[in-house]
Amino acid sequence: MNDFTPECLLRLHDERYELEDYQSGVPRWCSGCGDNAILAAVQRLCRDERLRPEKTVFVSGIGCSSRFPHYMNTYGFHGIHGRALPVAEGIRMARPDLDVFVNTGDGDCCSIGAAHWIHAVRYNMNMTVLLHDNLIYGLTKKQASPTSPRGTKSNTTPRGAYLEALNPLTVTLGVQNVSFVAQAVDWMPEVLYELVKAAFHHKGFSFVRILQRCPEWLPNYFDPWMKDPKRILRLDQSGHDASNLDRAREVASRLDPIPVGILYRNAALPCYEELRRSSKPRTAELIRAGLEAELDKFTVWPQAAQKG
Amino acid sequence: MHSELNAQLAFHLTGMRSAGELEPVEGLALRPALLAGYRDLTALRYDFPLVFTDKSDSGFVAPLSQLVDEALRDCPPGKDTDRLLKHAHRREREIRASLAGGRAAGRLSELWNVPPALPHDGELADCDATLPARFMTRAWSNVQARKARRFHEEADRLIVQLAGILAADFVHSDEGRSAQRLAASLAARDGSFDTEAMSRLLAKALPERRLPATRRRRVRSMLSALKGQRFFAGAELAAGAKPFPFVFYSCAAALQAMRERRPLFTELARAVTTARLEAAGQYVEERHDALFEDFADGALSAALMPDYLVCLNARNLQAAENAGLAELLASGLPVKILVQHDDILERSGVANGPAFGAHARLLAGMALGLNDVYVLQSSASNLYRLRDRVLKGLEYPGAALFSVFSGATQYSEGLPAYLVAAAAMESRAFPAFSYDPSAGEDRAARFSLESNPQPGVDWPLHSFAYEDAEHQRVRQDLPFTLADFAACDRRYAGYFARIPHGHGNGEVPSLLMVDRDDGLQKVIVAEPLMREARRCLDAWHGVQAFGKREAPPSAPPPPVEAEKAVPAAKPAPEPEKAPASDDPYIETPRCTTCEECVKINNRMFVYDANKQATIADLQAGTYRELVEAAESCQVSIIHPGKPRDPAEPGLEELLQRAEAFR
Repeated sequence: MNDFTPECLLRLHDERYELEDYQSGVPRWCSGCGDNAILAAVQRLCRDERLRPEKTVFVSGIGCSSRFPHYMNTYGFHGIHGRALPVAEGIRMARPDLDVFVNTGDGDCCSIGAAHWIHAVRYNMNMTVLLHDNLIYGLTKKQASPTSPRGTKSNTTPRGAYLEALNPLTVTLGVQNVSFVAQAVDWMPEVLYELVKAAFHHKGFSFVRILQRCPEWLPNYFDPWMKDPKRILRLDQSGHDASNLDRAREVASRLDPIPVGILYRNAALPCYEELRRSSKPRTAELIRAGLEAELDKFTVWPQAAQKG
Repeated sequence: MHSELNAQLAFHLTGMRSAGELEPVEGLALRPALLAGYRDLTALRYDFPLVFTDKSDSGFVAPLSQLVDEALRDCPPGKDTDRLLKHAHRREREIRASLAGGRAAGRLSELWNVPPALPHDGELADCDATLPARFMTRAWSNVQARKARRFHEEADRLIVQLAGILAADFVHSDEGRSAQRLAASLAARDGSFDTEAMSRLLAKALPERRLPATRRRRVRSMLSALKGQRFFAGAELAAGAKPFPFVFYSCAAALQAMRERRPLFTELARAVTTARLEAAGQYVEERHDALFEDFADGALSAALMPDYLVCLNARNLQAAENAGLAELLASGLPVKILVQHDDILERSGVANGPAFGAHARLLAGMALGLNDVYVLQSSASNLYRLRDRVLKGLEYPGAALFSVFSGATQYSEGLPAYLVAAAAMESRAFPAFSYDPSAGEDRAARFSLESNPQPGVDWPLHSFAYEDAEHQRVRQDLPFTLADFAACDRRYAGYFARIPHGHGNGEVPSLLMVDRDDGLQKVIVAEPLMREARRCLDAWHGVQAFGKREAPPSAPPPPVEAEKAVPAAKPAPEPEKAPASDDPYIETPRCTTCEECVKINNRMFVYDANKQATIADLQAGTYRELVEAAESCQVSIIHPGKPRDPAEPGLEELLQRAEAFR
């Protein structure tokens, strides 16, 4: 940033926000749904970080979790199934001045959007991605998702899921350029808030998997972990070295106790938008010329067609 | 023997030479013994000549020998490799000799006409009187180009955003929605679209909604200032306008230009600052108008101001220029000043004796005394090695002084400028150091002497080998002192006297020198020169001490009683006051905002500022609702306590259910 004047001179007015400044509409999630806890943590982050609503954007795909942008009084993009990440990447490229958040579910991200997910990790664009993982398709009333544990009975697997569940943490940690991976659980609100905050402050693609309860379709599934603190492995209290990728992969493979905290963080990796940053301003003329060039590729000139 | 010693002592103390016992050194072309191996510099591969390349980072300058090595390294191995290497080294030597003899100059490509192709081309530069200014100007240009690029990146973006604001305003105007304008915005030209009807429709549906006139004026004024600026080259300037020059050769001219341009720069700074606010939608007229009305010198940060480069020669620094120099250094503005010294063995007119390096020491002392000035002192021979520090000083957002000894003195005994400059640094007559105020809090972090040879000792010691009268190889360690450096200057020949061969030399201070035939000569040094050497050493000690970390004051010993005393036990933290078991409560920090309790009774349970549940009003609900909320809470953080109303129906059953949450 070029400095002509001290920043304090510019911010003459005190920008203070309350939680209500980020609230929009009444959440339509079920009572007891973990999405509520994530929403509360994110709204609290926005307030504490004084994010300007007009400079913040939430992008989602399809699913229960993807209703998230409707409940944030910021810019939002409720996209199509599995495509939240490409939309967010486009926003990041075109508007680097915005803070970009992505809310995606286990079906949205790990199934139909899996290809986008893997490449988004590799591109390492600066955004905060919250994977609301309730281990089930909830909005469409109980179908097995890629993260449903083996044996989960659902409308698509009435005899129980046959396959081992996909582990989003190990998948993310296996992709080149991974720069931030954390895991949270929705029933530990203070830890959830701290992890979302750390993810927001990380420069790069910060991926937070949040294990959340689905009171409607998998009621009581997480009760054993909720009722027994010994079955939660707090990484911040266990001396885990978040700069050690191999160790992060080992920890991520554990299913019980559930690891909670930052598994891996590497702030030194470059972001794609910075690698591709152009110093050329996007003037109206430049955009028009680019569009014309693209459209000309598909133009059939009548004279040429007649000759042909 | 006694008379020889007397004659030597007499010369040392009085400077009077007795004929027959001592000989003058004039005409003998003596040079310090340690410089014997550097008689023909052109035959040696060293840092010079330099090539000023077109690269923008610290690679803006590179030694010719390095470019040749890079080119040879990239050659595929084969039978021609040795031939290539031989030819390349010969050509390199020829170029070095041509430059040293003043027969060549210009670009490397004009002289390098043999394979292999060199990785970079550029202007050649030898170590001579023009080098310091050329070196600094090239480095400064690089830094300014980067600064200008940063400015234009932001200014261009702001211009686009401001133009967008005006364009959006225009399309909301009646003129912007006129049929003619609408027609111009359509691709169809066949009249199939009724733009008249569209215009009427728009005018009827959306009344004209313009920006306030004050905002339009403000945006136009910003655009005008951004587009019309002349401080940063590289963009399209207004017709006929040229960027301001920023290289000056006198302090007075630089000061005058700075004073004249200051209002214009203030205007530009105001435009950039307000444009940032405007583009972000954060300009609030009630708050910012008053601020920017008085936006002047005080609010100006120097970080982006273009740097002024002032190239001076110490011999031209008269009283007025010295005052201007002090004013520039003290201004805190990004002014980069090069002071070139061609002669540091000056004589004091008052003391009628040597006063070596006094002017350079005064200048450096003044700059160091200001505390926030970046200071770099170096011989020209060492400039290439200090290129990163030169760039750092040029990027430093404040004043910087570069004090450089060129070595191009007319009094040297046939020594090239490179050797004179290197000898000045070697002899502590012109030590290299840097002081970077941005490097840390204390002097130890800011000050560096590391570029000097053997910076921890008084005089650098070097091993010297020669053949004695019995043709035996003798090796001894020789210090290179100020006297050695002064011996290179013919003005000080009178301070030296050669001891004829066969004469002894007791305790009288002497130097080992070599004549033009590399014959070793012992030379007595006169006391005034020794005195100056001691002053020089004292100054060197001062420089060494300047950057040393001060020892922290030692802590007073603890009183005996305190040692024996058992440390008082920390009072145990008072346990959090637990609510009385009869009172209902919620562990609010553990609330997951799951909505269960507020859906049961949203007057009894409400969310706090963090959207976590608290009990707001017990009167607003029943004990049954409290128990039901506790049962539905998935993280079991609601504790119903005891009922307040003993007459509530079904209490016995409710108390049993509440027992699980006590």
